[in-house]
Amino acid sequence: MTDHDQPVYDLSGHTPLIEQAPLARQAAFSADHCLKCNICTAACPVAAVTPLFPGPKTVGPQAQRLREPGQPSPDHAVDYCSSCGICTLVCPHGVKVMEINTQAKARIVERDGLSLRNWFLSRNELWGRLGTPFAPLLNFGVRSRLLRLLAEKLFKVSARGPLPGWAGYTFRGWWQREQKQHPRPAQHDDSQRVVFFHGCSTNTYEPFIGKLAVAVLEHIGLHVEIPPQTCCGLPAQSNGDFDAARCYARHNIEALADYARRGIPIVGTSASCMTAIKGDYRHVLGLDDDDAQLVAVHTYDFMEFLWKLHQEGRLPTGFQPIEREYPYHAPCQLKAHGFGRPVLDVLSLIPGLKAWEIDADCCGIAGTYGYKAEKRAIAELVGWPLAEQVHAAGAGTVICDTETCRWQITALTGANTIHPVELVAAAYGLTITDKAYTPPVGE
Amino acid sequence: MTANIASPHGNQPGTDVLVIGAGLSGLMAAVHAVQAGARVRLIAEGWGQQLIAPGWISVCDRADDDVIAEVRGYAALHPDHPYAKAGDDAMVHGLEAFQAITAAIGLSYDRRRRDGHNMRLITMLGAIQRVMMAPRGIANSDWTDVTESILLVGLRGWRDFYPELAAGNLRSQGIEARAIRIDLPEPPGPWDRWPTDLARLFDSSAFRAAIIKQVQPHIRGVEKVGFPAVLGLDHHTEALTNLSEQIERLVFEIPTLPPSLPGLRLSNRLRRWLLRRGVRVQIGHPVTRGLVEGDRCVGVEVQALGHVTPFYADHVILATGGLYSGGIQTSETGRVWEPIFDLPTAGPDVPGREGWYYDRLLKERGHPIHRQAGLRVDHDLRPLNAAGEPALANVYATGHMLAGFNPLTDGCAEGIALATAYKAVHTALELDDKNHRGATDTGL
Repeated sequence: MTDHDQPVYDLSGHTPLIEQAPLARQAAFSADHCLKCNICTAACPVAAVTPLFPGPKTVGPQAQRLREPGQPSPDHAVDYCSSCGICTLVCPHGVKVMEINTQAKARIVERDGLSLRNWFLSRNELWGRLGTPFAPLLNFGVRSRLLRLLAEKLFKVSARGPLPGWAGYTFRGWWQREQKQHPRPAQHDDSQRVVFFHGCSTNTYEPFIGKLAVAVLEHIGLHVEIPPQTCCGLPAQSNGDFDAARCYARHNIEALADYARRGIPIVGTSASCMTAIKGDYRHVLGLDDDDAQLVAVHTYDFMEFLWKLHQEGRLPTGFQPIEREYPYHAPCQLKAHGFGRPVLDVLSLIPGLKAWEIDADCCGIAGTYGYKAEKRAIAELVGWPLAEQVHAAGAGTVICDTETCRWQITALTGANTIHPVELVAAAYGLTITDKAYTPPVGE
Repeated sequence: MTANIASPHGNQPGTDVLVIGAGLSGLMAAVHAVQAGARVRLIAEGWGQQLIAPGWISVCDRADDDVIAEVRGYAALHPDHPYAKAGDDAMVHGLEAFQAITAAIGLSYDRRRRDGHNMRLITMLGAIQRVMMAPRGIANSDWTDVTESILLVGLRGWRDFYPELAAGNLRSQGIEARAIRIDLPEPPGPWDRWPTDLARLFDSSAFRAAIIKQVQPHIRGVEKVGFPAVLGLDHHTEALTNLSEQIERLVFEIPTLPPSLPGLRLSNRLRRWLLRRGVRVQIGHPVTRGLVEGDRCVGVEVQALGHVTPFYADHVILATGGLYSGGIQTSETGRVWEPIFDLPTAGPDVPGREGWYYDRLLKERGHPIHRQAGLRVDHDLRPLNAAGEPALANVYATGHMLAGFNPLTDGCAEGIALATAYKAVHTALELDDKNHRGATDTGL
């Protein structure tokens, strides 16, 4: 289904037209439910801090009236939308505001092409892999103020954007060596299997997250499989490069569909990658075939999966106490899942551990948004309420699920940031071999 | 829709209380439950109607004397009215608890303690609205004891508030009022300004200083100065106090078009208060059905991304709103029902939609559909099934979705939201009124 195919509608009135439309088209139709109440504008964290963005209603449902299908947006302010999706969440009438805006961005890219910088930022998967052998050199470059300023001048990539360092090896490479030591269950016993979707960041920047996830899943008694996979496609989608995003998406759907058919859960530690696989492939990119749906149904965020196991009585709860208190940031992409706050639910099972949710819609980075020179100041202002609460609490460590959010929170607050899997692994007493990794709680 | 489930879900890990809806009654139900020490989850499809409402608390707008006495008298004669279902005590305690929690989160709501009468507040069209309680900024417009002139300040180039219109209508009612327009210190941008844009500007003391300078020359003979209700968002109380001190007159706010700043301030502060107390607040995905075992609801299902997610709880507070908030659904065939638990409404009794409306839009006591399209409940606020029995033992309905009143015309919607939220939580958790801790738990 491309954007331009015209579906055939049943006009008898038995089924609402919006429900007959392809999923990706339903976003545009949902603009008809907009009352112009501006609740989304009031909640938009970007409109709150910059006059360059008039708010989600203006560029979304309002501008939508001026867009013919297949036509570009009447205004370019939609480029300042960070795609955090808070607008869609707060709308009491079910208008898919963020989806409308993301599709409008794609139409602009379709017409005007993608800037070199945005093309570059959309392909972190490629840079992660290609850069791995040159990690020491690249890490020097990433930390060099001078080179970053040069990159800002030449490529408009912000010198203040919190870039990660390369690990120097890939998680996949580690797993290829490692998995030989992990016995496989009998082929027919799919109930004991789980697929791990690592995402680009875990593969090349933070392999320790993947190692911890594998350790936790195996501790639970599951056999981990890590099929070939690629970038979830969200960076390309956010930059309006739907062709590239669909290409990544199709690759992943193909790689994961067989597992989904067998009822094997697919879990990932990056909440934003999981948003793409569960929702955006169908709702935004329009890849709404049986396989895409099957994969979406069987895909879980890592902590969502642990909480589901707990509800089924399958999660070992022999946790060692952790006498600590942490603030937790629920990333905007995680809020889009609609599965509550499984991080807080799971961590509440660990004796002594207190975690509370920071009142912040978005940390500001919104994927690649906060790395763009012209948007860096906006990203920092969006993250300011979060930083204020971390400072006020005097917290030295913040829990957060998504990698770019963690890097942003560290850049804004100076606090250490950890993925919740680190606490779960520590409470299970699990350790991993990784020179670059320090557990959040002492030995 | 409900699902009668075969496998026992009773032992699933969940919360003590699950609140569905993030309007006034849903948020306050969550507050009451937290104050009682319960573990609470709040799920809502979008924010509630406080974000498009003026922000004041209508308890009984038509009361000429003591409002609470009027409500007590009315409830005694009308046993099917939500006030009667909730009981007098719930109304009184609900109002007090609301005033206490809002004060604790730094947003004071005022009422006339002296005589218990309604205040007489000024609207953006220059009408007089009688209301029992309002955020301090709006309450400051109470015209009851005003002897001198009122000055209304508009912002040049802003389309949401016309001070001349309001002042003219006030004068025609015999109220001495003048209007001025001042310039915004900021150059106009390419887009319309939303109330939130202006409110964020008013958060800044430098911006306020520029406003104060323009208003000061006009205050001779003036007793109160009114602005559109955009006086700050995160620092509203500071902005209001600062303007009053510097202009040397009582400054008040007039509610304008949505989004409602009074509602936004309240929602933001309450959300932070709830989050810091461990409440799981989830805005954005609809609850699609209740999970029912026998006569109990053991949880609900949410249409989350990719799949359906269950949330389990011991008690459910249904605060999803009325006809205009999705809490009550209608079909083109004239069916009217509550969708999560598939509960019947009080009416209309005849099929089809012919009886829903009178022939004139502005009918004084509203249209039949608004009074009937609500849930009938017992004295514990449990919705009744078609046979008139409580449909579920542990589900309680609050606010706009209740039958027996018209939330659009009766002038008591917020009072009912507060009374029923209080009653529902106290019934569910079997709390003694004396055990209510009120706002002893302060701070953010």
